Amino acid sequence: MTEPPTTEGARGFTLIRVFDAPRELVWEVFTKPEHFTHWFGGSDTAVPMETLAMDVRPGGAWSAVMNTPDGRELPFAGTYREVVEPERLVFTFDNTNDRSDPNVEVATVTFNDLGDKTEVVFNQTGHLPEDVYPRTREGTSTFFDALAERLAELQAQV
Amino acid sequence: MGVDSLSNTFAALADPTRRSILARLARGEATVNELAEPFPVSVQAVSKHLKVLERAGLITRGRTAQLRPSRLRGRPLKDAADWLEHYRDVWEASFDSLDEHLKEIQKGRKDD
Repeated sequence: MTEPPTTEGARGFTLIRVFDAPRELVWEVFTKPEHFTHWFGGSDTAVPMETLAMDVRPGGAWSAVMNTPDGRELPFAGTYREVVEPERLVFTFDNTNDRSDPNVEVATVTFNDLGDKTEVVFNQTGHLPEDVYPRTREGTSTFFDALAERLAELQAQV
Repeated sequence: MGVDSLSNTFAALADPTRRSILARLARGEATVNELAEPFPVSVQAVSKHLKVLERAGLITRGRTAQLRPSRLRGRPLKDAADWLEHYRDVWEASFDSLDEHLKEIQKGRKDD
């Protein structure tokens, strides 16, 4: 596996998960709001459909609002940089307090076709403090648990 | 103090995220959101870790509405530190022998 290029001084993490679903379906669940709402934020944290905007094309914007367990709203926003359906998706998490901040977090998601299954390689690089990345990796992992549940639901409907 | 509570303390400490949460709480109480900053993707993970720390008695959580700020409870950490303290003598004895050994080595060099 080749690691995506990183800019100097950047830090991050890589998370790899095999999902029990074909690649086209995993891509759809990553890129369509009606699915994204079910897994982004994990199973205990709601990201309502009406707060989602996803213009999935190079240069297109995305945004979401997460309702946290302690009753607050946390905004997320960024830009899609690369969209190669159904193989590769690169998008940013911008600093929502300062949208002009150039130190965005860059997520590079690679979807590897394993036939009935799909290997997702999620790499995030950026400039957060070093100790934040293990927590972020774990957070992303809880999202992927919810993503796996969503995929199972969709496939049960077929 | 029961062995079980000590086991709970060390089990709760055996995770880098939980240790970093405790380090943050040593500076003052904080809510789940504050602990998940500056990148809130981790909010659900932090929430799970707080449950483990609360069960181990290492933190208490406020009852006010939804905010429920967490604060550090020092007692189990003191018990863990007291347990480790028993081994200080072992270390000090080892350092004494190391000290002797270093002196021997240096004496040897000067003789060359």
